[in-house]
Amino acid sequence: MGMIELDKVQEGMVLDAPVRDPYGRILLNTGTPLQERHIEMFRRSGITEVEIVGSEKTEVDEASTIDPEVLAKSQQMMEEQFRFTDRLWNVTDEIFRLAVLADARKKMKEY
Amino acid sequence: MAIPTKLIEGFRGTASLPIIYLKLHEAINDPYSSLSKVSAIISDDAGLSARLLKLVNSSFYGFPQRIETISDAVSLVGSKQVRDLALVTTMMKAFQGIPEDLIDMEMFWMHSMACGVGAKVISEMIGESQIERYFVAGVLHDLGRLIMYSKVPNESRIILERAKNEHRPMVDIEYDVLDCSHTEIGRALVDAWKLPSCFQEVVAYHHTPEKAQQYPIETAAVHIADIVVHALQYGTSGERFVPCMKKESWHKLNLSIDELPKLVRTIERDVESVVHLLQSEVTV
Repeated sequence: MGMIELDKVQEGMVLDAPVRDPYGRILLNTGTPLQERHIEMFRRSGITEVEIVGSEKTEVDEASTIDPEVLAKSQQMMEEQFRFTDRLWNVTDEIFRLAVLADARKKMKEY
Repeated sequence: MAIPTKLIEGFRGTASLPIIYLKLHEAINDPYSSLSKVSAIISDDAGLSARLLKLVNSSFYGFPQRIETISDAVSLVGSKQVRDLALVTTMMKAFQGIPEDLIDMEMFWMHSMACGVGAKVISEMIGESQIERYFVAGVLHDLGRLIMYSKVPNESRIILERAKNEHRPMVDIEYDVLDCSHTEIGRALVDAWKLPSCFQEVVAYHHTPEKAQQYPIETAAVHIADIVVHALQYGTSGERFVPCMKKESWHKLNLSIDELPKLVRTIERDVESVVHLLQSEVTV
């Protein structure tokens, strides 16, 4: 995930997705380099995380932060759901990988 | 054998159903329109007005004072959000009374809304300008299933059971049992409602997007959104398996595989914002 906690956001970082307030209104749009006053505005609006360009690489490590047992369970369940898809095709396989991660993340939260 | 045009009888009367959506849509897109015009359209529908006021006074918004007028509500929630709320609430109302053992309606609308969000996110990623059309197309895509559940509940029960026991995609069994599928039934209703032809194609071809003639991009976007939200387990319309993706549709959208994590992330975020609309509806 390219989400970064607001406390770790620094001036000059660039938004990778619009930041919305709790009512769904856009506070700041994609591509904006952040200034201190923006970060302050997010804080006041109750924003806790924002998406930052170039922070994608953290996503690769995400699987390693999840309990392998949970991950295995999610994988097994998804294999059944994906039985009519062509997983040899890399697009489907990537959706499979993301679905397993999303399910495992949900299961971790429930614990 | 079931004939789609026969099945939709009884729903024709609700032909005005999405009209309020289209009226709001027009008013919002008209640069000479105003907040008072949007409010007037909503005020014409007492049920919708009541729902909207209930929503803005719910804990989700948590406004400190009680909101008493429609125009205050519209300016606080946003006119586009109000329009989407209108679409889903009017549709939900039209399909009340479906036996609960067939489908959990909250799950059904969750799947529909998530698919709408998915199609909208895809349209933004490929630089389409009319993103709202993608949202509506996505919300409508499985409409035929609702008609199936309400008009032929016994056959629907057989279809669901056979799909489960035989481990086969539901859409295949629909053809076995009814000789047609939810795509053709949904199309017949969209035709009867005289909705824009874009929605006809998407509803008819979201499982066979290669057949779309006039709106191949919209159809491909909904086809892929349907698959992604299935994989992310947002609700269900009855189908238990992730549908198979057509390669041509993927290539048609010119999306790169590296954009998939972003697609998933954005869908997850945006679905959150429509979920509360849904919850407020189910409890109204």
